Amino acid sequence: MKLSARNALKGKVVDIAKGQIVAKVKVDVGGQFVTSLVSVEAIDDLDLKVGDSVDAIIKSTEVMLAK
Amino acid sequence: MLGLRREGRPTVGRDRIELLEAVGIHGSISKAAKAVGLSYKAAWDALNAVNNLLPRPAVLGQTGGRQGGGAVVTQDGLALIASFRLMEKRLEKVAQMLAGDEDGDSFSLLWSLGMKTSARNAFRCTVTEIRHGSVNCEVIMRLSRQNELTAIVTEESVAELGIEVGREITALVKSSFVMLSPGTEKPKVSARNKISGTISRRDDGGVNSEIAVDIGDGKTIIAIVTLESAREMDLKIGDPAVAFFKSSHVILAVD
Repeated sequence: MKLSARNALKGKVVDIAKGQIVAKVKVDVGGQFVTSLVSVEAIDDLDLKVGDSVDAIIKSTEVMLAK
Repeated sequence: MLGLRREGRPTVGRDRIELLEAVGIHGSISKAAKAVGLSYKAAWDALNAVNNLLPRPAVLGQTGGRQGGGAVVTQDGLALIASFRLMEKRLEKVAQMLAGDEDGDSFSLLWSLGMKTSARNAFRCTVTEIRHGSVNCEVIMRLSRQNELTAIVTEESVAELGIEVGREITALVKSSFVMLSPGTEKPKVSARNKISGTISRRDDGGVNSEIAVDIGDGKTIIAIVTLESAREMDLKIGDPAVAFFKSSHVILAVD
């Protein structure tokens, strides 16, 4: 799967908290956690479960920097 | 700024109408652009924007070609021009009547209602489904015969804007929110909006590359990706690509 997004962090799903429309997915990326908000529909489509290996994809325009 | 609004459709400004007329006269986008004093790219962008906002395209032609090729104004496009000119005439009369009115501020306020935005992607859609949550709401829209769009906005926005099934709305997507995947296969990503098309234009800058994807029915999506990405994926005009973006990146606007 080739994507234009510059950042794809490989990780494992450690938690999924489903709301009615949106779900919060916590991904363990080498000991650091990335939190993703995706639609519940996307979770069902991808059949996403705790323990699944995933890529956390972040477009470079979305990354903020702090110093 | 005088703009045309018909049956709740958004504004098409005079500059775009003049461009449409020039396409009708010259039969080519590049010649029309020259005639109205625009760059080829600016003219191409303006015509795409018009096509994205109409149920059916106003201009047909080889909009993807470097030099523009031939282009024709459709029946819908001609109807748009005629309506605009008619309305312009009538509004001039109204303006003359109001010229002596001391409440000039409210008059100028009227013109500002035809808001333009910096979002490069503005699509006229019809709401087909609304799924309610407690805070968020998922709005499904028909964008064209082939494509749907999904937006996640707050329940409050849906109530405030009076969004309901069957209503015509405008979906705005900033081009920097749009990602691309080469080929025809939709990537297995959580993004709700995955729209297949053909690359119709690529403009490289120093860091970014602006890529237009023709998604059928006269509609075009603009994506900004890094030049690095565009080169790695070897994105070329005529290649298939899937434009994808999160539903939370879609802004909804009503007239």
